[in-house]
This record gives sequence, C-alpha cells and structure tokens, in this order.
Amino acid sequence: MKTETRFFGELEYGESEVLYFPAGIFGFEDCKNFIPIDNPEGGGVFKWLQSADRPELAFVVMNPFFVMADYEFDIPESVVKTLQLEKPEDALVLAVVKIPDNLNKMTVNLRAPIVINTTNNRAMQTVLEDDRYNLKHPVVSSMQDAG
Amino acid sequence: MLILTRKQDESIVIGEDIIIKVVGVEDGRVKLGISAPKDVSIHRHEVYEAIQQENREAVVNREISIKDLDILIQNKKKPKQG
Repeated sequence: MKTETRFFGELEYGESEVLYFPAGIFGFEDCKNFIPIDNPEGGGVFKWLQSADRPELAFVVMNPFFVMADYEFDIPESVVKTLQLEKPEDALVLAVVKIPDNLNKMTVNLRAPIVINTTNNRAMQTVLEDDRYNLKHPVVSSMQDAG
Repeated sequence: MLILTRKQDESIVIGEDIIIKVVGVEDGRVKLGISAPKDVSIHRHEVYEAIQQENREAVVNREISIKDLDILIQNKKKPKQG
C-alpha cells in the first residue's frame, strides 16, 4: 500500500504494519490509521507515527520507560476491551513527544500514553487519572537525572 | 443540552447502566459519584481538553530526524566527563 506524506514522500507500507486506533487520538478523532516508522538505524527510543489518512499529520513518539524507569499504570478496562487485550505482555506503550525549536526542551506526555496490542495492532490513547504523570514531562533533563 | 435540577443525594441515570449521584454540594463545588461499567472512560473535561491541545501542539511541523533525537538523549545519558 502507498500513501502520500509530508515528510516521507510517497510511503510504501504493508497492511499488517498499520496501527488501527478505533477512536482516533485525542484532538484527531477522525484519524484512525497510523504507520509506525522506526529510526532507520534501528534500536532507537523514538519513532514516528505517520497518519495513513492525512499526509501532513505525523507525530514523534517514544518509549516512556526511557524517561521514567518506574513508569507504570493499570491498563484501564476501556483500553483492554477496545484493544481486545488478553495479556499485559501483549501491550506496547508509547508516549507522544512535543518538539519545540530548542530540542533540549522537548517534552513527553506521560499522562496520555498510547497503548498498542501487538497481537492485532489495535491501538488507543488513554488518559491516566494519576497526578504523578505530567502532560509535559521534560525529556532531556530526565536523562541527566538518570545519569 | 438537557438541564436538570438535582439536590444532594439525588441522581440521574444515563442509558441503562450509568448513574451519576450528587454526593455533596459545598462552597460552589459539587461532588459527584459516578457508577458506570468498567469499559466506559470517565475524565474531567479540562484534562481531556488539555490532552487534545497537547496533541495538536505535538504535530510535527518541520523536518526532524529521529536519529538526531536518539543521539541527543544518548549523549545526555552519558555520565559527565572529568
């Protein structure tokens, strides 16, 4: 399959790669299909989520455990049901990164993680009712704290 | 929008299985008790709006190399020299 994209030109992808968000993501409820694109060199913490529906819509996401080693939450029942999750280990968690001009000030939204069922590629952004997790958690300074 | 008046300890029912009860009213604050099926997500509206806004601001609007981002944080993670 192919789609036009703003940053990746004409992007070819396999149907099995597409993440399906039945509810879209917050603020983009009509965008239900995203293509994950990894660092071409592999092994990275960041990846792209490119909308398969809108060429200009792309997000950078990251592994939240990289900025907070003890990040944890109970997967809400609404997510379990929507994703048809059978086991916690089938879930992959990503968090949306906001990248200002100064890269050192990028933040990651730990309050609203994206959960993906890796067995069927269904995905959902959820809201955690947990004040420990910030919508704008600094990425770079947490690296320094982690030493 | 449907507007109803309720007093303390009164409730409303939405559909078959969602009940919202006014548990307390004090100093302009209303405390609600909500009972709903586990698969229904319930959020404070302002949190929901803040997350929509955060996502809108996170849309990438220029060329960014995620390889550079990976390098940036890997370098930050290294212990300081000297």
